[in-house]
Amino acid sequence: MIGILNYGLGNIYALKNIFDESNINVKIISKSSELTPPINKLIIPGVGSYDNAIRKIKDLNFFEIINNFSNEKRNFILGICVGMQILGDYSEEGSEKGLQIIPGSVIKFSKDYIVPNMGWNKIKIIKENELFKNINENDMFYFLHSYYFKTSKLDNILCYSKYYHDFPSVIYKNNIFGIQFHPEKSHSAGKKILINFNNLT
Amino acid sequence: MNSKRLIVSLQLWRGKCIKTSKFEKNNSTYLGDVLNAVNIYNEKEVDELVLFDLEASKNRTINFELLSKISRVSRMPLTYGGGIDSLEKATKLLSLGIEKLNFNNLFFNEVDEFKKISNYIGKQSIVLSIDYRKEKNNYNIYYEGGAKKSTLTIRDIADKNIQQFIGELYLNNIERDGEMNGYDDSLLKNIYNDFKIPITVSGGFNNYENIKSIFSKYSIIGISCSSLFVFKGRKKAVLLSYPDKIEKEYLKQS
Repeated sequence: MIGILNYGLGNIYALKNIFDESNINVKIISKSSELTPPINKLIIPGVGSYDNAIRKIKDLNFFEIINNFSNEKRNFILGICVGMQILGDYSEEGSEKGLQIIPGSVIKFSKDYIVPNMGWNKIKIIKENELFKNINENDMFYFLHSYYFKTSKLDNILCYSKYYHDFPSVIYKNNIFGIQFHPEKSHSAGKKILINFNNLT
Repeated sequence: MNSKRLIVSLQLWRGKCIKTSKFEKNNSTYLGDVLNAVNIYNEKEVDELVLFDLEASKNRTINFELLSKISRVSRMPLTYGGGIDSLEKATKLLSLGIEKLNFNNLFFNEVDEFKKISNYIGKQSIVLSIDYRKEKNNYNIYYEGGAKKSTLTIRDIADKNIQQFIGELYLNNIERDGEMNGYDDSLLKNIYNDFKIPITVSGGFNNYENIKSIFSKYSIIGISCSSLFVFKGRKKAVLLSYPDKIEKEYLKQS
């Protein structure tokens, strides 16, 4: 069963609404004691700055709990936008350390670019995954970010998107996924990704 | 690279959608229920929806309950503007799942509070609305719904010390609001290269060719329309519309 992390950031109710429409039961997780079976999938939404996200997670005592949750082989995590970025080691946006679940760091787009990257983009899938079932390369997703996830390990990258240059738009390690765009705000294509996440086994 | 956004903007008054003309509330048309509009624009897969609550802007009271309902059903990115005058209100809006916050009065009245909010929530969620009138070849900036004239110029806003707190510049041509007499890009042309943030323009768009001509001139740009996507025909009957996928692709082709 999916749990949606409620830590004061991101669109938890838009996410819940999408699952409700498909008759998929999800639970809003507002306290660390709630992150227990039958919850085996956790969605970490996110809007806003990196340090703000980490601090909110720490304030609610989720930092350790999420790490422990990620170590359990049968558990899945989906981090969205800042919820993705905090899965890494650190970010140029702030001073807090990340959850360090997927190796990589969060880098600012060049100051020569128009930033943030704001708008609709395609994804170039380099590794097939059930997360992309029924997704094709013409599908568009909504991005809103000034920083991007950089990893030296190609093994951790599922797809790229382009803003001036290619950047990883979906990263993963085992059952842990991070996606830079907002599936909950990406119409039917975004909904497919969320339903696919629910169906992962 | 193609980073063009075709945005629908809606104005709210007492929880209902209206459309003003030249920013005049007294000169507005009643459109209908906002949740109904959000559902229709969901179906049409709109790029972004921008909501301006004119009542909240005036009274500084935000209708969180309505915004929460809107945010739950919206499958497109949302921007909200109106009455955001504190960090507390800003973070509450983000927690409801609003992606971007649109500021105007706070920036002109209390710039330090505006900067504080930007630092805290991250500039990618901060939109600054610049409402202007072209007067004797000057572009004068107004706030408080067009009632007060600012001493700042658009070049002042472009200054690094201000620009660094902004994630998106939203340019409203007050005199063309609701007029559907064509978009005038004379200001945009002059300032486009002074900004390292996305710019969104609004005011006067009257047909798809008008949109295409602006999209073809600027690689990174948002076009925000209200009248064009809520009215139909010369008599301005209320009918919500938006280009379909193929039309939208055509409009964005360079």
